[in-house]
Amino acid sequence: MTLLQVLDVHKVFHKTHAVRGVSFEIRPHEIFGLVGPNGAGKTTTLRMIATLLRPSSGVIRFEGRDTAADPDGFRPHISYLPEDAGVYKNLTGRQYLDFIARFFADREEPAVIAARGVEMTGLGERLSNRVSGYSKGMTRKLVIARALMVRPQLAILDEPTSGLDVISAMAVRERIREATSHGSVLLSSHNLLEVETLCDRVAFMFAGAVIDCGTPVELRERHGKRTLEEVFLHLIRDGHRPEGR
Amino acid sequence: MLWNIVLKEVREMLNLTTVGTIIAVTAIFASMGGLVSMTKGETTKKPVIAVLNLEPPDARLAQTVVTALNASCEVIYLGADDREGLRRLRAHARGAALIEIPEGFDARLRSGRQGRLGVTWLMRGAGALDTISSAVLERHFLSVNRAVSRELITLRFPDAATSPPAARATPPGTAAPTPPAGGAPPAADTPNADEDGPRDPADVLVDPIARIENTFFKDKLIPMLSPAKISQLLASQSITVPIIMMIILMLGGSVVVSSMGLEKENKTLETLLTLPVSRRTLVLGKLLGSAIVGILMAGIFAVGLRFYLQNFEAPAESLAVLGLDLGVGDYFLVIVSLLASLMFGLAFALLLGVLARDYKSAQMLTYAILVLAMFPMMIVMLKDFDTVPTSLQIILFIIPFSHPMMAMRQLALENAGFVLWGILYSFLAAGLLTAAVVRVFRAEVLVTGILRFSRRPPDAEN
Ligand SMILES: Nc1ncnc2c1ncn2[C@@H]1O[C@H](COP(=O)(O)OP(=O)(O)OP(=O)(O)O)[C@@H](O)[C@H]1O
Ligand SMILES: [Mg+2]
Repeated sequence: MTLLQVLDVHKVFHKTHAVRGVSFEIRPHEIFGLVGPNGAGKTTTLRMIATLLRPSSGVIRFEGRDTAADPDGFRPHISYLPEDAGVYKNLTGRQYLDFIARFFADREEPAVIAARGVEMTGLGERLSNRVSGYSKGMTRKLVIARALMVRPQLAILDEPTSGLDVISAMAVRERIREATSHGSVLLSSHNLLEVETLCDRVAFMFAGAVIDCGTPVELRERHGKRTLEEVFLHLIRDGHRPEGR
Repeated sequence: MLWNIVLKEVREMLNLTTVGTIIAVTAIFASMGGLVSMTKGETTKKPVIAVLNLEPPDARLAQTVVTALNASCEVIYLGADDREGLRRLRAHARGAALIEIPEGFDARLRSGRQGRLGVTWLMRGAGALDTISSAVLERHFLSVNRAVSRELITLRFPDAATSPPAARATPPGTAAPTPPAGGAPPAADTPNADEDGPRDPADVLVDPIARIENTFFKDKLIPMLSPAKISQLLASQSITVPIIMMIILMLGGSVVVSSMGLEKENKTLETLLTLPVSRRTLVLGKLLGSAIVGILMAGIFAVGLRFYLQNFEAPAESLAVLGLDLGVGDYFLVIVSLLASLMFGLAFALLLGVLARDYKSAQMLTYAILVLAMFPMMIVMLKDFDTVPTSLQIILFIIPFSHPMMAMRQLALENAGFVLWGILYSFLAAGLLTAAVVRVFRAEVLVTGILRFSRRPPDAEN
């Protein structure tokens, strides 16, 4: 019943112990949220899952197989959206989507994938402009569409809605919900309201460890709070230290 | 205010890569200086020669030549056996020339005609520093000329020698005030009916010796040319390929390096690395793409270069006369050699690009490649592979960029084996380096960078 299993994963960068024994699992067709203060280790965890970094210790299993053992075999199942993803400046939005779609030619007709991407961006005419002229939010919409248009089994989205206006963020959340019909979504976010309404399950990270994990309802009840925001404040401010998992 | 900005600029620009590059360039120039000073010894040392004297011992003018040569050169052989003379000369590391005083030398001079000296040069390389010993020897011929001239004048005007000798450069033994033996006929009586054309007898007194020069360039006998002429003719060969090599490298290398730098700066790298492509495909794609761009740009450049190089180029037929021209197959080998070392250069550039933190430091790193290419270029222009010390030969061989630069010369001397080994080695080195780059692409340094501190300070947006 698990798609992805993260088991006691550590990451040490020279002197920084960025991730200290993180464990959680993601089930098929669910949206899993990672929240935590800046520097908690969210991005590092997502990068390890995306095979960009190797865990210093611990394992990550996808459908039971260690992803570090065969990253080339695992990568086709995922789609990773970096927190500050960029686009090749000389391409138009349209060309960029085509470029990415061609990597998935063995799965689906690239034109079909790209057409879906075009639809998802909601950028319309502007897609025929060069990316170098895009605003931050427009670029973000483009790369989110790029990540989701290939219908991955696991979409790994680092702060997908950061930098988006209210309406665009709502549209992106809708896209993420739709994505669960093909696979699971793992996302990180600083917007707790978004996490509360969007995610099936949430993990709170602090100082490199998961300090609590559960459905939004479970988390609210466990700590006797009305919103996840209050839970977050309670966990972080009231000196909740990572102990048992 | 101003200092605030100045300080920021200095701090930004003066990092490990920039300083490292400068140090590398300095080291290269320093070692180049070492090479030059090594050959500087050759200009102060006496040139090593063999003298073939076919005249009888009582031929005074021949003796004058021998004495003059003895005074200015290190004569390792003096005799009448040309094979032996040549053999000894070849065996000597600095052996420069075999000088032949032909039979009848004395008589010709006495009859008022120019005496002929046969000079067979041993040319070991065509680099600028290779021909130094012949240039030095060339200078000593002047003193031989003067000694003979002096002797002739003494023979003709016995009174002239009784006045105190104004001999400054003339070796002492030659200025013997002996009266003319057997009174040579005045030059005016026998007008020169030589192939040299008629000569004023006074001219012969001033310039009594004609040289007939042949050159052994390595094992090839090139008639009627001196080493200086030959190296002049070969200049185009030694300059064209290195220049093209540098341009392709510079363009292709900077394409690769900046493509990596841009991937990092524009934050496209992480996305690329999580797409379903093998690292090998990614690396080969980058190499091939930049090779195409590099060659294309170099092609455009080469058109302009042709106009410039026309000034250096020896007409192909003159090289053909020397037997130093290249065939189609030779040019093919040169191109293959170029491609092999280009592949190495691009893989190297990619490796550097991977290690660079961002676009700016990546650009800086391009110079590192240029430095690596500059080293063989400068050496090849100064000296031939065969004439540099063994340690330098090893370094030259190891740097793949040297091979195409040396290829033309080696092929002209029918030394295709050396070129083929060079190509083989370059491809091997390129393959190994590419494999190493693929490995690096699998590692996480690509994402984290090589520097110790955090790539992104954790203050971020919020
Ligand atoms: N490449 C790196 N080299 C060294 N340290 C790193 C590196 N990447 C991250 N870190 C450190 O790891 C810790 C966790 O960083 P991470 O980016 O995972 O935090 P985050 O939870 O994503 O924060 P934010 O909310 O600001 O995005 C930080 O202390 C950071 O300095
Ligand atoms: Mg982050």
